[in-house]
Amino acid sequence: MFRNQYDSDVTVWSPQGRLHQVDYAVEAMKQGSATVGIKSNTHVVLVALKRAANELCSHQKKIYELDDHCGLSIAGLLSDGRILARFLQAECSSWRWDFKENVPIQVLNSHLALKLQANTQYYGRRPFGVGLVIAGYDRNGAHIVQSDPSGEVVEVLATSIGARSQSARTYLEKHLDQFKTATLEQLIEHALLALRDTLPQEDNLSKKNTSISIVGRDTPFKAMDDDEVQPYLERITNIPRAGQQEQAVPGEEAMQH
Amino acid sequence: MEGIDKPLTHTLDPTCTGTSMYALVYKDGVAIATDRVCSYGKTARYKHIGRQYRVNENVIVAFGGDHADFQWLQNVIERKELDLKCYDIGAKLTPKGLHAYLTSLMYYRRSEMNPIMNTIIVAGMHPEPTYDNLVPFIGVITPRGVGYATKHVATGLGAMLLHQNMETVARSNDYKLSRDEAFALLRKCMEVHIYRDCTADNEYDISSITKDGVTMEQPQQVIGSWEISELNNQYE
Repeated sequence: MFRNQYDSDVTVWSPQGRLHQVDYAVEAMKQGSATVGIKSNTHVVLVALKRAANELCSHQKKIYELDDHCGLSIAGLLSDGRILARFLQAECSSWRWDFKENVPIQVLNSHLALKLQANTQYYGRRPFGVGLVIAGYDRNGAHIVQSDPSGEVVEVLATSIGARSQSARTYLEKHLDQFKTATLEQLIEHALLALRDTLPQEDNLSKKNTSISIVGRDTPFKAMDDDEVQPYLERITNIPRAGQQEQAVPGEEAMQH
Repeated sequence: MEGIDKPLTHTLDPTCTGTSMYALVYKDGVAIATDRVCSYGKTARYKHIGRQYRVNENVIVAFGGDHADFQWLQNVIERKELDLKCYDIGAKLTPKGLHAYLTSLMYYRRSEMNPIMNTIIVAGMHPEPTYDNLVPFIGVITPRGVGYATKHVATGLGAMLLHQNMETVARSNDYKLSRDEAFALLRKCMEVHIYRDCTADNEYDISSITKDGVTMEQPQQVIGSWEISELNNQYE
């Protein structure tokens, strides 16, 4: 992807029928550190790789609770992700005010899609440089929803976004049949194994750089970090990694998480 | 209150009104019975009127009180239901959700001194927590915006007369009456209701909501026993 005369505004189409600004925003999402979401019939698990800019920094928070029945994980521009998380928290809250019950995930999807799309059609705005993986358990069961800067919001069975996420998606596709009836612990194992595949061979998941969240039947949303994550990491230490890794994609580290 | 030159024109008295409603949780779901008349004071002004509204496969709303206010409310509910379809074609209001919303609405209107002159019953099956497991629900809302959930209810004059009977029969069976027993109890309520309430009518609707959906029966009639009238010296 290189600079050309059709990419200065999001309101300009290229002759090939592309909105280059939106494409570049999707690139920003692909530079963020990876996150994985999987669901079974009863639970939904999100795991995320937290990045620290350097040794002195804390690792950036990637998983946000939206309500007690849903949460999300972000990849891309952290600041944009936070705005979207706050917007969705307000939508959850607003629904609860009227109906005293949890918002159906489909309603959230609609609100999110409209908000994202608006920034791809008006002059002077820029698309959100972040992808979201929303995990929710509502009256229709378990949901995973994936969004990207173009405004596409889709429900998926399992997904991974961010840097080197193709390796994780490969893992997920391979084990897809096992997810539906998996227990919560098994689901977390699968998610961590998929996430681990996005790391270069010499790196590993640790309690410092891994976040896990769970939500589901009789399970209000809970995000776990640091020591809480350790027991789950220990479960996968004995499972060997998959073969060759993809070449790591060089990218800007500073703002994107 | 506005100034003397802009007097309030809000409705303070209901005009054509529905009377009591009876609802009950039983083994398979919820049953609800209402008669089919709207009275203009004590005159039976509009007969053969249904006082129950089917919102979707899981929810029925019934009213007592002002008929016009309820017709407006029906419209509001229908629009809320259709709004949901914009997000997801398969989405529907749940009984608890609708009850919470109407409670807020009724309370808001009472706080404006422009009440919705209705007593509302929202009856249905609620997903607990998903649609694979439906649990019966009855929610009541008073004209002042007090909302509460219960397993059996009689409103209006019925509240004075029939709560005890309903509770005795239903609670002793742990609210697990069969459909026929529940309907028999509600029919008994309608019978006592026409003996005692001069704004009642003997034609009534009875509906049930179960996990298989809403069934609104054909209107039925209850006659009752009027032999005692012959002992009344003033009855010719």
